[in-house]
Amino acid sequence: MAMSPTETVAPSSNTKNTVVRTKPPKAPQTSNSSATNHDKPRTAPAPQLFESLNDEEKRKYVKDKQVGKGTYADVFVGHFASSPSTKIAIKKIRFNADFKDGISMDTIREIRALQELRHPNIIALYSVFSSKNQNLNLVLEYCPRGDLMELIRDTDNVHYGTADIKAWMGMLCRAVWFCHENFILHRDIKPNNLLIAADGELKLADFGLARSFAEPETRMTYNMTTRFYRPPELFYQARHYSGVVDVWSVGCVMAELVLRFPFIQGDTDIETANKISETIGTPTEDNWPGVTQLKAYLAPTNVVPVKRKPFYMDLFSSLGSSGVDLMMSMFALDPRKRATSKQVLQHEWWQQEPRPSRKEDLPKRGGGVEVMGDDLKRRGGELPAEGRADKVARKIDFGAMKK
Amino acid sequence: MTEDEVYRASTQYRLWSFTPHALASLRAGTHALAAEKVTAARRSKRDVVSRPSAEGNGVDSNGAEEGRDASGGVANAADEVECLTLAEAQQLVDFYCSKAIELCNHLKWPAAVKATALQYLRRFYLSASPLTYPPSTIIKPTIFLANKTENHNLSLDEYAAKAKATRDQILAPEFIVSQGLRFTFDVRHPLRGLPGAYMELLSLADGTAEVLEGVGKTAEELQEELMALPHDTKKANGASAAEKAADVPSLKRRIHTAYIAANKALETTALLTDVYFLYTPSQIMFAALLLADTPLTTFYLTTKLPPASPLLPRIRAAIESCARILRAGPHIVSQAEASRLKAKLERCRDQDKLDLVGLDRALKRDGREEDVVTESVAKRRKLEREMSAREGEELFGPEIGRRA
Repeated sequence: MAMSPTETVAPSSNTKNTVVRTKPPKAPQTSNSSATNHDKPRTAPAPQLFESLNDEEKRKYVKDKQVGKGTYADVFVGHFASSPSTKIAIKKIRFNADFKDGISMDTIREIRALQELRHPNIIALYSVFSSKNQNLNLVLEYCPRGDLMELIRDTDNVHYGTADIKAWMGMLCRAVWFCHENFILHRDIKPNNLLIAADGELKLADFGLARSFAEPETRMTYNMTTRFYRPPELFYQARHYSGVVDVWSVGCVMAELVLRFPFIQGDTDIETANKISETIGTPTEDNWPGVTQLKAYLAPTNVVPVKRKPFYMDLFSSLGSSGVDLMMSMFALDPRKRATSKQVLQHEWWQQEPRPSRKEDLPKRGGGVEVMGDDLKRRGGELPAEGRADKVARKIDFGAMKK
Repeated sequence: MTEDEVYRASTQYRLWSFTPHALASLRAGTHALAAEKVTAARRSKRDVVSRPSAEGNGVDSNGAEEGRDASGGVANAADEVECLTLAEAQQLVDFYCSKAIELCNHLKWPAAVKATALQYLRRFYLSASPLTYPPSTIIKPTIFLANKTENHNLSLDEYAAKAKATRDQILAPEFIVSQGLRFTFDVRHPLRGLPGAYMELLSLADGTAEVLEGVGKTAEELQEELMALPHDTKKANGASAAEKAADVPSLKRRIHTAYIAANKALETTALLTDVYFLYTPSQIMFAALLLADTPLTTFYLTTKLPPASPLLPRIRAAIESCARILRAGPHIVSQAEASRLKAKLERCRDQDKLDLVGLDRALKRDGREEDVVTESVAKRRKLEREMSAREGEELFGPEIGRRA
């Protein structure tokens, strides 16, 4: 459990932890490193102008066939030149004539975040290189088994149980915790951004909306996260928020894994915000002090009291009592009361029966390489292509479930 | 997972941290490669120019000068002298870095954007030379890139107007800069940790600090020690230098003064020296604090580790050597000297990269055309790939049965 959060040794101080450490003498982990010098972190790399560094990178990868084509990016399957059996996905960002301000923000965000994040449950970015006409190529981990959305929606062919849900949720929660530990907000967690690798490992992908935690005074934009998975504070246009925006989305994914359709759906932002109010409870000064100060807060016409455990037990009994507790902690309306990604991982549900399925035993139907191609070509915050979304646009009348 | 492990996974550590020796040799190597290219290009051009038929194309004084060199027959030595030296090239980069700070200050941008822009510039010039990409053409695009990566999001038009540049001048080098940064945009700043240190010091002053395990003292004891700290004798603070901080308010004033001074160092000196390449953000932050108030910072450090920790001397040594660099400060040449260097650079620039805007336009035009013929290009590439794959196989002999 090298990635377990319990190994962090951060003192629980509310000020920023500023423990100093010396620069470690260890050699970096990169494979091409030849650092052997003991008390020095780095031996000198052979001097090269950056243009030749780029060509060298480019030659390491081979594109085989195109599996996705979009307005934003084209996706190819390829392999390492040095190891033809090791497959990769290459996301080639299209030169965008519409975006007039240079390299697009989505691209910059994605590259910036993925270059820093190395985790078994986060899609690996092996390299970035440019081809001659200034196209950016992102060399990504190969995820041939589709995405979690395919598995959730294929109710006829894919059957799974709580142990499987626990396994997927565990992988997702570790990925999200790791992002936050690196001060990165994902801001677009949803089932079709959760790809499945060949070995069944779940991979958080699409960092096109990701950003670093802002400094305390800095304002952030609120129109983030695909609508069904967006937390209430973003609907209310909060400009200062934290990692728990992602935790809300994780809660939505957990609910969707059980229900097999999105828990909170609306055709517009306002409708979806109202759905949160109806489904989870209406945000008020009582349950969320300060909420009425948020810019887009609308005084509710009818106040639905925050749902209590029996409501969730009815819908999600398969998760068990503590699973429901966990989900409810992710659906706290007030972001300050919502569980952090670390608290989520510390929840007792993970320790309880059933044990999470081993990744190799997880259901693996999915749409395969084409789904990966489809997922990777998208720009952050976009819903999947029409055809796929239509198939799944089901609604549920939560009003009828009340009582 | 410790903070160290998180930091070691960062690109700042993996790609942009060096020993002083490695840093120097990287710069020297880059300069040598760029200078060699310029010299070689000049030699071949001179060969052409010396033939009268090609003379009409000679651009400006350059052409004439080279013509003279060529007629002189042995011009090698003259060429070498003309090129900016490694030291001069670095002086020019440093000079423009200070100009970049001025521009960011003028724009009233957050310190994080400025700090990132500066670090981009310094990183870029590790694998690129001013001979190829003069800093005057690179700073504005780089600052704009930092504006995007730090989510500051000023639009290009607004920026171009404020920075007094055209859109093309800002966008054309963007890709070059990103490539030079090896597409790593994240920079970890000591500025980020400083407010945390400030808050911790304040709570130490209040006697409410959460004490780390192993330090072996209570918050109250630490508060008392803090009160009794002498002032920095070297600092010319007049009468107050001899006094001790007698009460909590004056102690807090002292901490605040140190914080402001450290913050200033991190926003200026730290950005203009090599400390980011040589030390971790927390080491740099502590070094800036150490310069601002040595007794205070030395004491603060003891609240972070058990007194007997073998790490303590090593950490101190790292912080002190970083502080020495900050204390020495950057050596920014005068405007007059910079003008001389610029004039010299104009004579020895890489002639292939004179017009970045034009080059960029040509690239993008090609890009569009290529998009149109994507299929044929793809087909051709596929054939080439298959060909090379076949050749690869043939290297080891044909596979049995495959040939039929």
